[in-house]
Amino acid sequence: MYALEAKGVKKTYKSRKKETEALKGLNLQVKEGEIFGILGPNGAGKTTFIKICSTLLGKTDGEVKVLGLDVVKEEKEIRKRIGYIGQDSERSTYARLTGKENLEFFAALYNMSKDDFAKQLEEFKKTYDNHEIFDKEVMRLSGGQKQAIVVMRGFLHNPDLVFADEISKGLDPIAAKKIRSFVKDYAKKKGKTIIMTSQIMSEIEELCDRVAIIFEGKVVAVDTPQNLMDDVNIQLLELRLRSTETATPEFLQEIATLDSVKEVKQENGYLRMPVSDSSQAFESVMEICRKYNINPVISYRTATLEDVFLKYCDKKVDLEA
Amino acid sequence: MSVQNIKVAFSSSLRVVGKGIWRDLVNIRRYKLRLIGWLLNMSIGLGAAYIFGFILNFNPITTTETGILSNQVFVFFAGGIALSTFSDTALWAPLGRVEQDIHYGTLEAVFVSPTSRIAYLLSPILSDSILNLLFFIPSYVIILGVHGSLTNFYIVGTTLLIVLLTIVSMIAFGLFFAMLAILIRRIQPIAIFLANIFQFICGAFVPVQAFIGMNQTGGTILKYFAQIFPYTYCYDLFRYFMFGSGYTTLFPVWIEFVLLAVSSLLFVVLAYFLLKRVEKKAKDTGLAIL
Repeated sequence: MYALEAKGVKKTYKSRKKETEALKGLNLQVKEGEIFGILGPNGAGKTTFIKICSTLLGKTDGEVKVLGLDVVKEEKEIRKRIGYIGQDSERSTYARLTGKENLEFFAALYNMSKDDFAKQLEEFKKTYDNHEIFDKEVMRLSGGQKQAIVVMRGFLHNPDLVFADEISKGLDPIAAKKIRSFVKDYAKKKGKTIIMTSQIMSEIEELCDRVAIIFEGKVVAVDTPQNLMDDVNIQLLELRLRSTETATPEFLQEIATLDSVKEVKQENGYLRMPVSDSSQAFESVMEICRKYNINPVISYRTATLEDVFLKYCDKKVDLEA
Repeated sequence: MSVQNIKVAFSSSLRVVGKGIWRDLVNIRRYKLRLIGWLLNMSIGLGAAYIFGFILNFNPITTTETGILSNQVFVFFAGGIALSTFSDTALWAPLGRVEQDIHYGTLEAVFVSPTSRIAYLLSPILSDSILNLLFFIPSYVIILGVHGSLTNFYIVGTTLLIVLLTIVSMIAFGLFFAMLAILIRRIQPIAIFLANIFQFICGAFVPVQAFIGMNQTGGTILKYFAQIFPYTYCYDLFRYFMFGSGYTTLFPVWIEFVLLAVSSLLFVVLAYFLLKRVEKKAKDTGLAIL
């Protein structure tokens, strides 16, 4: 069974002045136990889709089934079985209650017994090592610690499926890493399905089994991060010249004429060149460098998830050309 | 829905209400400045009532209409002001909670859970009522002391009954305002205006019976308007039981009890319909952060 099935989902926001079509027939299937990432530029419809699936928003058209339940007809049952971590949710706690008290309040909303709550708290403490977040008033916690409480709130009632909308937005790398490792460890251990959005490509690459890219209200690509990256045929050679070295027009011209080099771009002290045959290009470029007495730092990379994102979402950039 | 399910839903809602009250009481205990402000507010109110009572006499029409003697003016004002503390329960408590929860995004976390929306909205009203009751009691004791009825168990019992009925009627009114807060964002300025008008119209400071003496046409309109609100009967009945049969109520006492129940029920029904609209609006546009 699929944890989520969406067919032809449309959503139009109507106001007095205008109508905005946020989703234009979105199709998606997420398997049980998957950590599934949704990527897309701002305004692509990611949050709208997550909110429709978590029963917070109504759809204009189409069909959505969450854990096999219809999102319109069986929303109460869905609410019992899903968790939700909203965007910018770091503030969405009761500031003068402690972390534990906040979780206790929300446990009551899910009608959790005291024993179940105590057990769940112990589970959280095993996975998240900084225990002071439970005993301090939330207003005295850092942004990352507050977000940890919010993330735990999403998992509190042991839901089968958790929707997480940009869980590490605005956090420093250390706090973001802690949140990521909590989500990864907890979800994997418990076999939970997680559907998450993020603008941080490394986060999606690290956590997600599969990724969908949403652009202008539609899914434009779905696959594993690796397959998506393999699909973007990029081999890029990067040269960083030392401060004493200069790339003369002759030097650039000679590199550009190589058969294995498609193009040479000079950006922020780097020479970037998409290549067709990396080993041949490497040898030829090094030979030219030696000829001009240049000793650069050379690196080679294939496509990243960012390149995939740009391929599908930035129509102006044609990386493969 | 089976009886078992109804029982579970009821006990779950009760638990949410209880936990909400606990949340608010913990909050206020840790926010000492707010507690002090509350106490100051109450003291200033009583002081003002005392000054009013000392320097003011009702005009002959008011005296005729209500039967209140000029030496009872302090008790009249102080009673009005003390009972007015519960208007916070109606206007500010649920409104403040909903506005705060929309602003911080907590409302989404609540609405995505299977909990009863009514239970969630009831908790700030009840916790505010409990807090207001704590502040009402000292004022109430002073009023009884000045009135000389501290040991009159009939007056103490009946006026306390009216206080409890006031709280119950305010719950209905409070729910109505909480819904408005979700439907009409930034309702706070309207609420400030309404709070002042509301207290005046319902007779906190000038008896509704006396409106007609101030202006024939306007007074009559205001009088009929006041009769929509349960609060009018709360003020009137509180004074009736405080001053005894010498005080002339707006309607016969038993009719006022009926009207209090009917007008409270009216606001419950209105709140229910508004809840339906709130659910629809939430589905259409979302409960976005302000």
